[in-house]
Amino acid sequence: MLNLSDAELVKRLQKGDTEAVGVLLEQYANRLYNYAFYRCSDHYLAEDIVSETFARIVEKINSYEQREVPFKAWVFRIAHNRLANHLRYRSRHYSVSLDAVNEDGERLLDPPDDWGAADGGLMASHIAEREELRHAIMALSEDQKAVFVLRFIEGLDLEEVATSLEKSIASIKSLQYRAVVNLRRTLEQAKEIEAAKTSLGKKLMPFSSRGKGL
Amino acid sequence: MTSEKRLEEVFQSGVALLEKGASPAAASQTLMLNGTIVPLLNIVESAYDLPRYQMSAASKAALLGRLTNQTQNKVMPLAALAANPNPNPIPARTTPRTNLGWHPQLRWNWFLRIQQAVVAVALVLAISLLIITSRGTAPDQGQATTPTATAVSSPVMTATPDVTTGPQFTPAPVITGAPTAPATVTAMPETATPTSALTTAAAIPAVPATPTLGAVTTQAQATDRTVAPATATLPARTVAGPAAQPTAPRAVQATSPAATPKPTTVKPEPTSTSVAPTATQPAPTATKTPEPTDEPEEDKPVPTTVSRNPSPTIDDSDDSDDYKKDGDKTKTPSPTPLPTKTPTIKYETPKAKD
Repeated sequence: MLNLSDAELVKRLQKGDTEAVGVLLEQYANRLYNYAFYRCSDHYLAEDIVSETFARIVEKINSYEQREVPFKAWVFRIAHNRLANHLRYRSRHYSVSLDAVNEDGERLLDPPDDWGAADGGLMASHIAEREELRHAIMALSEDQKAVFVLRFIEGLDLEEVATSLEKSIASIKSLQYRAVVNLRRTLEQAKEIEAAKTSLGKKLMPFSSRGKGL
Repeated sequence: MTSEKRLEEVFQSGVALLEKGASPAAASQTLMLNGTIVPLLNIVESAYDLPRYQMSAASKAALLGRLTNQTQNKVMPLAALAANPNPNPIPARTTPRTNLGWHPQLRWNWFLRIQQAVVAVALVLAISLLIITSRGTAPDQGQATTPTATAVSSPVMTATPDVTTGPQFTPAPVITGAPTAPATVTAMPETATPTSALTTAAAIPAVPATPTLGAVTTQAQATDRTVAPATATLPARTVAGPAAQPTAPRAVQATSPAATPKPTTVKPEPTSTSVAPTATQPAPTATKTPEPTDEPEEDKPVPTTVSRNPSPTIDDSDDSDDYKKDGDKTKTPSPTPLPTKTPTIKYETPKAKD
C-alpha cells in the first residue's frame, strides 16, 4: 500500500483515483473507528460513523481546499459532526445500557475479540486500570470526552482539535484540563469504592469460611 | 480562580513535556510541580497507553468496495443509478467526459422537471382562481337574500330621472306646485282672520296666519338656488291692513297649478303640495302701498326640469312647514331614500306571490 502525505492523497482523490481510496481507508479508518468507539461505546454505531464519514469525504473531496483546514482536522470534523448527530438522535429516542446484551448473551457495547486492542498480553492489573480509565472517560461530558480522546488518544495537537471541534484553542485547553481533573476525581471515587469493597470482603471472610466449615 | 488558571497553565506545560517524550516524574522535576498536577499528568500518561480499537477487516473491505464504487460513479451518479437496475456494478461512464453532452437520461430528467413545473403552475392557478371566485360570489349571494332598493329593474326607479348626475338639475320638483301657487293672504284688521285668495284649494287645510295690520307683501324668499326660480313666479302676497306687523311666519296655501288664477308656464302637475313657509323665512314687511312686486316675473318660465319631473316621491302628507328643510333636502338630494320605498314594495310583492 502506498504511503502518501495528506496533500498528495487529496490530489489523487480529487482526480478520482480509486487506489487513493484504499490509502485513505488504511490511514484513517482505524483512527476514526477508535475515536467513534471511545465516544459512543457502540461498535455498530462506530462502524456506521466511519462509513458515513468516508462516503462524505469522497462526495465532498472536490470542494475541499488544503488552505482552509488541514485534511486530518477536516476528516475528524466530519466524523465529529456525524457522531454528534447520531448521539443527539440516540439521546432523544433510546439509550443502551453498558451492560446490554444481545440474544446470544454477548455484550453489545464491547468490541468483539478481533476488534479489540492490538497490544494484548498486558498484565491483569494494567487491564483493570485501563478499563477503569475507559469507564471514567465514558462518564465525561461530550465536549470533554471529544477533546480528551482527540488530544491524548488520537494524538492531535491543539490546533487540529480546535479545528475539528470548531472551537478556540483557549477553550480546548480549558476543556482538556477540566476533563483530566474530572477523570482524576472519578478514578479516586472508584478506588475508594473498591477499597470499601475490599475491606468489607475481608470483614465478611471469617463468616463465609465459618459457613463453609458448617 | 487565579490559582485555578495558574494550575491549568502548569498542566499545559507538563502535557507539552509529556508529548515530547518526558515521563511525568521528569516533567514534575523540570517544572517543580506540586502534588496537584502530578496525578493529572499520570492520567494523561495512562491515556497514551489506552487500547486503540480497530475496525474489523470484513467491514473495512466492504467499505472499500463501496467507496471505490462511489468514486467511479461520482462523475455521473444520476446515470449510474438509473441505467443500472441490475446489482452488478457496471462502469457508468463508458464514453469520454467531453462527449457526454446531453445524456438521454438527463434529457428525460429535464422533461420530468418541466412537466412537474407545468403541473405545479397549473395547480397554483386553479387554486387562486378558485379563491378569487369564492370571494367574488360571496357578497352577491348576500345581496340576493336581502334585496334592496338598488334594484335597477324596478320601473319606478327607471322613471325617476337621474338626479345625481345632472349638474343643471334642480331638485325643485320636490316642491312642485307650491311655489308657483299664487297665494294671497289677506288679513283684515278687524277680524284678524286670514283669508286665502285661493278658495279652490279648500281641500288643503290652510294654516291660519297671524293677522297683521296693514298690507304686507310677502315674498317667498329663495332659501337656495333651487327654490329661486320657483319663487319668482309667486305673486305678491299682500296682507291688507294699515298697520301690519310681522308677528308670525306665514302659512302659504299652495294649490295645484291648475287652480291658479294666472297661467304659469309650469305644466300642470297631478299632485299638489302645500308648502308652508318656514320660520326662517323673513317676516313680511309692512308696506303701506302693497304692490305685486313680482308681477312681471310670473311669465318667467319655470325651469324645464321642474315641469318634467313627475315628482312621484313627494309625500303629500309631508306638509313640511319647514320650507328650508325641504330645500335642503332637495339641495343635497339623496336619491337612495326616495326610491327605496317603491322598489322594495314592488320587489316583495312578487315574492309574496311566489
